[in-house]
Amino acid sequence: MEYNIDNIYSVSQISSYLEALFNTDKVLQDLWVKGEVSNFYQANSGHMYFTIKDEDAQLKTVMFRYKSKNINFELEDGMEIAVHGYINVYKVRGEYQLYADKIVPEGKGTLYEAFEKLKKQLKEEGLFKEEHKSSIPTIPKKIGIVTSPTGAAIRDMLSVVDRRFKNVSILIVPSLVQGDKAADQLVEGINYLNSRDDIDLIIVSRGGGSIEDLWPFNEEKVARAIFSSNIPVISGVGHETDFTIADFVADLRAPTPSAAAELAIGNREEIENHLDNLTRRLLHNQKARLKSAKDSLNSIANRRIFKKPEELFINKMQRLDELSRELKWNMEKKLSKSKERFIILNSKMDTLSPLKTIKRGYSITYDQEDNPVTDIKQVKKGDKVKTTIINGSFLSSVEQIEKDGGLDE
Amino acid sequence: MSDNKDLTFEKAMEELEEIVQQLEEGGLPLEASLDKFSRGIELIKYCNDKLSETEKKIEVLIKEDEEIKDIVPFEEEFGE
Repeated sequence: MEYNIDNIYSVSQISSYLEALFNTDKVLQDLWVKGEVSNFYQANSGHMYFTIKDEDAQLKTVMFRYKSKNINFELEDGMEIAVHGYINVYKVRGEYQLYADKIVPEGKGTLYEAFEKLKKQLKEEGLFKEEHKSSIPTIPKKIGIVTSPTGAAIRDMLSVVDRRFKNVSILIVPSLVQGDKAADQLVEGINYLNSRDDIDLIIVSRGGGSIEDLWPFNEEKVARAIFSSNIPVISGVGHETDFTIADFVADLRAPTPSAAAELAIGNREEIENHLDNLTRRLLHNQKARLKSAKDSLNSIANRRIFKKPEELFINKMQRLDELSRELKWNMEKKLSKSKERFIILNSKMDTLSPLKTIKRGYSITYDQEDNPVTDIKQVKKGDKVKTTIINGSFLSSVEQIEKDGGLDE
Repeated sequence: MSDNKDLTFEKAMEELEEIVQQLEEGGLPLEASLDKFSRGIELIKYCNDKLSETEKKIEVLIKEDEEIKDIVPFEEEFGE
């Protein structure tokens, strides 16, 4: 291109042109860049300025305060990080720079993203919901453990079992617990245990390690296998501070492998103690109940009435005697009174008896119906009447009636 | 006395707990409390049976070329 006054751009113009180019480039607008931090400087404004570099190049980076709030670690020179953001032109200085909105410690960069993404996705799908969690059986008959048979995790778990010395049955399903094949083997192990009919609890486990080591437990297929397991699953992965997707989807998260074993059988110990306690209480209560029933029975049986039952009728017997004596006395009294009265009546009878009168020459006359004649109207002329005197009687017929005050005929 | 067919360990424990509580509260006639007591004993026996059903046994699955080959005692295969 020839020199021509009309073809010359100002710095601002060319900077704006570059800015437009950057803005329309898909790669530059949404990218992760990894490197080592240098020249880190946080201004009073809260904005952070630093350079990320590798052996051959460096990239100026700025993170404004409103974005930097999302960082949960201290940035410092020498740190390996991965930064997300977009690259654009800083016209003032004629430099391009990375405008950062996310920073994660490197090594964890892409894994971290993947973790967060899967976690979000599965959470939205509802795989972590409490309502999907099954309860851990109180007395697992047989526990299936999916883990490495040579790792630290299984040793830790078995030593817990040894210490507790509980009669629990365990089936270990060997699986790689790190590397590319691990996730598939974990899934297989979980599915295999589900295909058996004697397993009632599953533990998936591995010991501590880097985020890469623990990665299989962050894989979606493992999460889905745990979710669809019909047998309750306890996860015991890494150290207490390690959280994996498997932990979120498991029915119970144990902070470590040993803790997983303890949650699986410690529970049982508690139950046994509880059962012992209930048994003791039941027996004690029943003993006390029976004793108190016996005591009240004894106290009733010991009452006077059962000790000297004759007292119940002794009084009555006495009263009966009294009453019969009274009865007798009353009868006698009444009898003697009657006797007296009889004597009096007898003597009265004697004086009233017609016999005495008859002796003196009086007689009784009976009409034809044998009624004593006491009224002159009882007889008429021609009637036969009988007259009784002291030593006999005679029959006569009525010749004439004489009423007091004149003759009747 | 009662039908134990649908009984589970958890249910048995629950019922047992209820019975002990009822008995401890008192107020039940003697005969009813004797019935409760014998049901309690029955439940305790059931729970103890369940607890001693399993024996301590630690086994490991042996796979060869992705095929399940055997199940053997863990100590035999991986013990020190």
